[in-house]
Amino acid sequence: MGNSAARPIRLVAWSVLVVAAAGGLGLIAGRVALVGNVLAQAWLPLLAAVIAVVGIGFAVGAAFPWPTRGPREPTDPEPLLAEPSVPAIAKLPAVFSLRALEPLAGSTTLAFNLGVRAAASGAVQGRRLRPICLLQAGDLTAALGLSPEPLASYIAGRPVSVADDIVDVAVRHPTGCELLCLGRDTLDGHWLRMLVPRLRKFYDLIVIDCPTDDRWLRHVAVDVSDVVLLVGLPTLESAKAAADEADAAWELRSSHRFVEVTNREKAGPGARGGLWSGLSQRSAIPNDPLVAESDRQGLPWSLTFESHAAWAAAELLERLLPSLMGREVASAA
Amino acid sequence: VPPEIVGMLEALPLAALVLLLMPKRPVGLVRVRLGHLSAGRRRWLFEPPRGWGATRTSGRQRVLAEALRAFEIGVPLYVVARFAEERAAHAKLEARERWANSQEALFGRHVVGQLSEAELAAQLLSRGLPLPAKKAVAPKVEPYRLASLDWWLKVQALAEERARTTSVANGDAVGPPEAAPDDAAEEPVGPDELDEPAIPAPPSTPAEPPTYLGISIVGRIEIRHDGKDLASELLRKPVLAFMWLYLLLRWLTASKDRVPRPDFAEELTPGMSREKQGTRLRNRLSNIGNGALPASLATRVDDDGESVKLDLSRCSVDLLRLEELAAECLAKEGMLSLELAADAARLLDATAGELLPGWEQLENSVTGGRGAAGVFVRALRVRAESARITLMGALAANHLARQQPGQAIPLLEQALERQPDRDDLARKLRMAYLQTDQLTRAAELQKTYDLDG
Repeated sequence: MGNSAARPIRLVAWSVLVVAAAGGLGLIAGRVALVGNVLAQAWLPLLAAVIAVVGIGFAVGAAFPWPTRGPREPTDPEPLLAEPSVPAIAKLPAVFSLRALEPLAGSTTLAFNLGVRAAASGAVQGRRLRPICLLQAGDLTAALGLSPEPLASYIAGRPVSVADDIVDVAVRHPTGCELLCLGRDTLDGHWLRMLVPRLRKFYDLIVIDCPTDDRWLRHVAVDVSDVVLLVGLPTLESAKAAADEADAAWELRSSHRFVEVTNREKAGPGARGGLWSGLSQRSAIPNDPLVAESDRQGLPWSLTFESHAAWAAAELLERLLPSLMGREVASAA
Repeated sequence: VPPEIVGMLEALPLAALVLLLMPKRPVGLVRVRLGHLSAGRRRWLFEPPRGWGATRTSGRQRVLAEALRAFEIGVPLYVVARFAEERAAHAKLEARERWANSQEALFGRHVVGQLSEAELAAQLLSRGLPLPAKKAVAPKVEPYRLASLDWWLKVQALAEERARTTSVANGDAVGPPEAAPDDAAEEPVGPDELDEPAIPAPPSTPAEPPTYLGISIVGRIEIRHDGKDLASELLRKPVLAFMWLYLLLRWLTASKDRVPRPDFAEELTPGMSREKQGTRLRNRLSNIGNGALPASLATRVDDDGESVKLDLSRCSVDLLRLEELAAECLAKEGMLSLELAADAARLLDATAGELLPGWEQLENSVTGGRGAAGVFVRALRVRAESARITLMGALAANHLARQQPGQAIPLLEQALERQPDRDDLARKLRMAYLQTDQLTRAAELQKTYDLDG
């Protein structure tokens, strides 16, 4: 219960109600002899029980001290997150795309951190995974030192074909994950369709942070992806967009590949517990102040123990790619 | 004392007991929460107690915070919660210890600069874990060998010089010396280039009447007329070459449309004032008419004072031939006649390479690349590429129909390389692999393209 004003009101209301009920009982006891006799005989044991209950509560409270808070551990209430229900991607290389349901929903940071986490935790045939993330240009890519210019120049120079040298445009992150920065209008559907088979030759996992303002590109991203993560915030705007996307997915008969991801899920009375899009597959990433802090510095929060979001992202990744992500991921988090 | 007051006082312990035992908040998902606590998935049953995590909290504040929690959720649930939270705290501590030695923590420390690349590698190796993935590297592929424009012009000038020298030595009649190229002899060419037969022989093309203009722009720039190649002469005058080729581009893009003079002037001298642009264009057009270009090229420029157009009647353009042949072969849907297959193979060889090679160099030297001509070039390059791939696919289908899968494979591989989203080509290639017992490659292709078994 995160609402600090509602909490005392509720407690006082309950107390007044119960005391009033007791007062009512007392009035009845004055007129009904049986009730009066019972109360007269029971008040002492009841008082003893009250003292005992208070004592037990006090003893337990005193016996267990508060746990030490980690150096960067958030103090916000933890939302109750259901285990993610997402389709497992069996074939390799795996491709999944993320699409923001509203501006600043966090699809870029999630794409980056899923890619980095996969690079750090995943393995295939005894070697470490080599993922690539296609990230939309923004504050995070600027903090990472990425520019959309190299890819834009490459595409301008080769409008009709993609060659293997596209991998030279990608920038390697210290974790081994490679990053491509997409500027606004850099990519179109045709190019994405040509790009993905080429990337499949070099990478085990392709994460696409799909721009949302190009309908053609969105359709192609769905076509080329094994799973589409619809990333929204726990807001009405995201919920409406998610419902529209769910309708579209049903029309395309591909709803089994769509996952609703509620980002920055909070605990408390305002919590919606998902976007209620109607999609059967869903996941949630809790609200975590470490995310914004890490993004500002261009660091992956998914490699931070204290981050609640890292834990949820690792779990999501493990469900998406069970064959690539070892159990060590979950246990370590 | 009235009996009602006594009754009320006697009922108070009951009220207190009820208040202490009863949770005063929704606890519908308490089982799930307890489960998450036991698994270490969360730290607190509900929210953290007030003051937890603050730098300084007095004992009194803690007691008050805990009393409030106990009162809110009821003492029984509070007791259960505290046991579960204690267990979760232990699980968290254990997880933290495990995390400190985990690969994720090593990567995390590496990312923030606490571990160098070498230290990370050493730590991973000592734990028997694989090293981080290296940067993906594209395999080195031999690029198309396209001669640069400067090189071509220099070699042409040298070849002419050599031909003149030879004819003088043989005592042949020598005509008046031709004007030296503007910039052809600025840089000396190495002796190696002189000794080698540097000019590749042009691929054989279908015979055409001598009065026709034979224009080849895919893979090379060649303009044949009456057995002579006029391209080198044209390209020696970059501005006029740009104008002529621009008109050619416009004709190939929309053959019926004339180019309005203001548009042409803007393309030729972008950013200048309208008047200057008009003057420049007029001068250049009159240069063309006054013999700066060979007559067979100059007479093709049709200027009516308002607009300009290239008259390309009685001429052949390799791009159009390529597209026609691609459409013809595609319509056959399989086996081609021997003549058609030979024609297609010949044209594929002749058009290997990019459309208008060296165009960017020419455009940069004339307009600084500020015009819109590049758009037409790119569009035509797409057309040429598409026609070539169609032709490759048709030739490959012909080979497959003639039970020659070995000859179909390189064509299909090349086509798929250039247009990887063509599932139909991937299917044919897989069939060819299967027919030549290359089962691994067939399986890889099937996996990559998700083809039906």
